[in-house]
Amino acid sequence: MRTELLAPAGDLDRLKTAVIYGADAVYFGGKQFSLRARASNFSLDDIKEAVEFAHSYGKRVYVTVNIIPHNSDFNGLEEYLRKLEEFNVDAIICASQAICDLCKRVAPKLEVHISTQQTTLNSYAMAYWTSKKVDRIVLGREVTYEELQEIMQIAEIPVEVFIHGGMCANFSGRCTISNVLTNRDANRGGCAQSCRWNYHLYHGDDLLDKDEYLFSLGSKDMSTPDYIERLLKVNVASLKIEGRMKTAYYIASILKGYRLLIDSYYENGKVSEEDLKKADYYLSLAANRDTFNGFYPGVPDEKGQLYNFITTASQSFIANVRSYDAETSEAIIEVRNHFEVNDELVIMNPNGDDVRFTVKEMFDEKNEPVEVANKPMQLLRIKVPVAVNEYTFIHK
Amino acid sequence: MFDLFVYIRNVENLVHCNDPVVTGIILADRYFSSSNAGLENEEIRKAVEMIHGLGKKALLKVDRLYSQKELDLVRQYLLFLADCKVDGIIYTDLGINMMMEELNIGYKGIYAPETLLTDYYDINTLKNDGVDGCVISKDIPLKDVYEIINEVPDYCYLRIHGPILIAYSRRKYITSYLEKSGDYSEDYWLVEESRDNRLPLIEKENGSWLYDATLQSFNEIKKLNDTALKGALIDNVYLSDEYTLKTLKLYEGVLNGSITAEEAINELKEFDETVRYADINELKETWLDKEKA
Repeated sequence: MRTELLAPAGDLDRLKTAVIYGADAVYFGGKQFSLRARASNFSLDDIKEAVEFAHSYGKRVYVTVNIIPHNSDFNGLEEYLRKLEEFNVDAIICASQAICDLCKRVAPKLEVHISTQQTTLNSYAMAYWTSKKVDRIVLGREVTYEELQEIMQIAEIPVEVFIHGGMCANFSGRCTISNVLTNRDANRGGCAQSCRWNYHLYHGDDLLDKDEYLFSLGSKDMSTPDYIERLLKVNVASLKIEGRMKTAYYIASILKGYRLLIDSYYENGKVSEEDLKKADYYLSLAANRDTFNGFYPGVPDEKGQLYNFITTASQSFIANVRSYDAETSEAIIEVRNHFEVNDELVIMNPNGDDVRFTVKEMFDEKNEPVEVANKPMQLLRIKVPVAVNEYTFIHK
Repeated sequence: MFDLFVYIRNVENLVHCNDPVVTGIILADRYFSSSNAGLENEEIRKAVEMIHGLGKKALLKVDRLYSQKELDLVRQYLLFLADCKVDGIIYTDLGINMMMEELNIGYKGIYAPETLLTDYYDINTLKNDGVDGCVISKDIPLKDVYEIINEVPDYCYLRIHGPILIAYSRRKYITSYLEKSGDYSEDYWLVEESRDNRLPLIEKENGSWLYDATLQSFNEIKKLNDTALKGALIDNVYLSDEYTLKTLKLYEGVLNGSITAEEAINELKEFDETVRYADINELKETWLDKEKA
């Protein structure tokens, strides 16, 4: 069985983008019972539509029910799980024994995937969940590749691993720094990412701060194109991308990068240097923080830490396509970042290679010529060299 | 009335725990536990014998998360503890539960994942799954703790005193920051740049542990003692056995009515002025967004 590429979605639009850009499955949270409180999250109607859309493309849908629950969090949960089953959701991702058992009892058609919040790092911890008849385990991100190889030789149920995105610095689900410093519950969707803040380090009364930057627990993001071939070789069930709060452009470009690596492996039996170069290009488009290979090469040293934490918004994303006229080869685009006439832009379509072109002229809604596009969300008309559609992204 | 367990770091201090209020002593080695000061194997064997000689139970902290590569070592250690005739272990990794079952180990296991046991549905499920006991997580308000104790009587344990663990990582944070290996297990602290509170940070060969204030329950101990709480733990990580023994005496005093909770707190503050406390009553409901928080 081929390994699945699993993408996040913060809302319905992003789910559609993920499906169109090659995700084999998409995961998201509902309005309740899910981490990532600040992601838009899906209403029940959205979930129904999401499943119908994804299934029409033969893709699977997983709903996160991954809070570490408090006593009162179980109110309405049984009904919610039944609804997910009724909507033909394929699986829930949960981090609670009780939610796992409840789901098996009241919504048995739903698969149960155990979240990385449970920090499953070894085959004995997996055996516990196997005894509960769960359908998949998402391993902790702290598992090295060498350890994963050993685990996969004895795994009795499908295993999912992370390949890309933000990382908890501490074991996921075991950190309450946010609770203590901000009163926002890290394990119920309120994490303030306090691990990324700056701290002074003392030994006794001696201050050990460096001149260049303060101490931080924060982690660099994970990005693992170099490990895809190896992960596919050990037959993990699913390769997961983190980032339910990320933009559609981010999801599209990241998926494009990993999709081509996975497809190349299955077509050619290996990932070539040329494939990696292409993938790196796509993965770099939306990058906004330094990245590393996570724990796959081994427990990280300072090269896995993020000091002087600054998220720089990527400026490469220029515009969405709203519509396309095949007769005139013109597209109506929605401006997201600054560009000018005579700039070289790039069209990223869901399929095929990117296409470069130079903007010769552009017009606003009143058909007035525009020299500089610098009004976010402004609609402009431009000529494009290839067919585009609503899922096309234009970048620099 | 709960069983009372107290963590002691050094074998020579065990003789001071011969108090009727103490049910058992918690010990730790350095490698398999979260503790930064640990006993060698032969010290553990001797300590268990001494504890049994006092008529008390001996519990061992086996409270790390273990990698696949460490499983053989963990298995050997669990068998060694069986050979020492320990009465139970406190563990964090669910895999330990399965390994104990496979080895038919003969002592009890108390599951203490620190954060994951925040409701009685999960704790009841673990009980039904055959887990011997659970330590209720510390990141929930006290009213939830009482609800859990009521719903799962004579099963739950609660850490009533000791540093509150707020983060655990496989990374070596101090080594990474200083770009230099070393022993960073004693007396290291963090202070967030816009706050004042000191957060003790312990780094060992196999990870890092970050703590907040020291939890204390003097105001609540009598009430807790009247519930169906199975066990209360006086834990410690980096403070001395003298501090722990003083703490134990003060809880005993509050329980038998010889001193008030306020007197106990004041006396402990005088004993060591550097320790910052959080009253178990102050554990608040946490929220998901800035507005409510």
